[in-house]
Amino acid sequence: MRHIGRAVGNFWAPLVPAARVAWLRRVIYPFVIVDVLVFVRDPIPHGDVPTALYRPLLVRQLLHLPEPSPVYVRVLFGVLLLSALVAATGRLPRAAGWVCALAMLDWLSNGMSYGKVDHDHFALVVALFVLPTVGRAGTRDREPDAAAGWAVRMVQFAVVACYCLAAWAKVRQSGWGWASGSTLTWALTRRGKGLAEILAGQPTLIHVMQWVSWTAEFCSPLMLWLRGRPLYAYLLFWGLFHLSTYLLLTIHFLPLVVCLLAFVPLERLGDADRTLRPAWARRRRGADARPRGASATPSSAR
Amino acid sequence: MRRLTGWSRVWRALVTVAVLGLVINGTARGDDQQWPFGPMSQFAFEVSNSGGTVRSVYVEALTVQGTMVRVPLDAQGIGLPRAEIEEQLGRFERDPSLLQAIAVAHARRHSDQPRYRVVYLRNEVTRLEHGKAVSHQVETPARWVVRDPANPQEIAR
Repeated sequence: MRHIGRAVGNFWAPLVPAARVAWLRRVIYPFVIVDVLVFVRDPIPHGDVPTALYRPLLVRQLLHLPEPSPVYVRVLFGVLLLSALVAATGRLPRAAGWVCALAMLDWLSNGMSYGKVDHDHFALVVALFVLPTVGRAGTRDREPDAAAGWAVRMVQFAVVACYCLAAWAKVRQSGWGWASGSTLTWALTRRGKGLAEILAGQPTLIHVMQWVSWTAEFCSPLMLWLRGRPLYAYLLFWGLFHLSTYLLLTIHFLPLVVCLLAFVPLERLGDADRTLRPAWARRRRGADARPRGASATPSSAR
Repeated sequence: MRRLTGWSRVWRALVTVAVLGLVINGTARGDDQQWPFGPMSQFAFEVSNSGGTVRSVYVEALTVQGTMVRVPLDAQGIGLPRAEIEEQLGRFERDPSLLQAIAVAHARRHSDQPRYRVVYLRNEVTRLEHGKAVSHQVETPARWVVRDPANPQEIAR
């Protein structure tokens, strides 16, 4: 019984080097800045849109978040950028992380309170709320840490939920015949140019692509157990999948793609960092380069 | 080796169950209002191979100078992307006066451009046969003559 309990504990909160969280912060928080500046830019113009078209999501109603106004959205923009910038440096990981998480929740829910709701940010939102729970973490901190493991695992759960539940939603909404329909043709007709227009006229190929993506979505929980090359192959598949949807439809799902990094042993970057650093820098920061503790856990442990 | 103990283990277990429960519930029986726990329904709808239709919404406006223009549906344009207009299509059809908001947003964001006098909500319908587009048709589900087009204001509701 104790063995089962330990196995369950190791599954949802495995011992993972805290360095992985440190590296995730170095990717996730800068991505938030890019996301706000490049991808989710609607909230500021929404401040100019009459409130007749404002349809607040449940989360905004529950948290009593105000109707977007020109001043409010600009202040929020500043807070969000500043907190992401500080959190990306690894300083004030809890304070800056929580502010960034709450500000991003406000920003994104604003963006989706005018009718259209996107489904590409769930894993990113989860990541922003779990990363501050770990506290300070260095990129060379190889000490196995269950708090870091839980945070990483939550991001992995969220990524898998995005894929697996997307497959389920297709069954719920359209039945088992979804993959044999023309949904991709619909998307290519509306948004596609060049190659996309040619593909739209190939119904058999469209059906094959739909079956492959739908099957991969359904099987995505396997990613929680796969290791090594099979896992990397799955991650590569998703990378290519999202690249192709971007090239054909200009739909990128980047907020989800960055969270795929939670499956990658990013802590090894600390080794590469040490190896690649010039000799003079190694001498100067010799003490800093010393590992904090021997890790009993393989770096690919999740 | 840093393990979780006591309360730090309990609250994480509770959060895990709550987050997974909410997101599964969202897809099982929820709707978009529950974001971020809403259904993962991107491209979940089915389009029939034969007899299916592809609808593309766009908005046109007749300006006070008498020219017909395509309303820019994006963040730089009127501040609303096409998808947001599409998702509120039913509201516009039931209450065309909501199109006043498009004239107001345009006037606020592009004060140097000619104002809109009439706003037309258009719907381009493409019909599929054997997975291929065979016909196109443009519908106008809603039309609104803007109140006070020189200086449009929100309609009190």
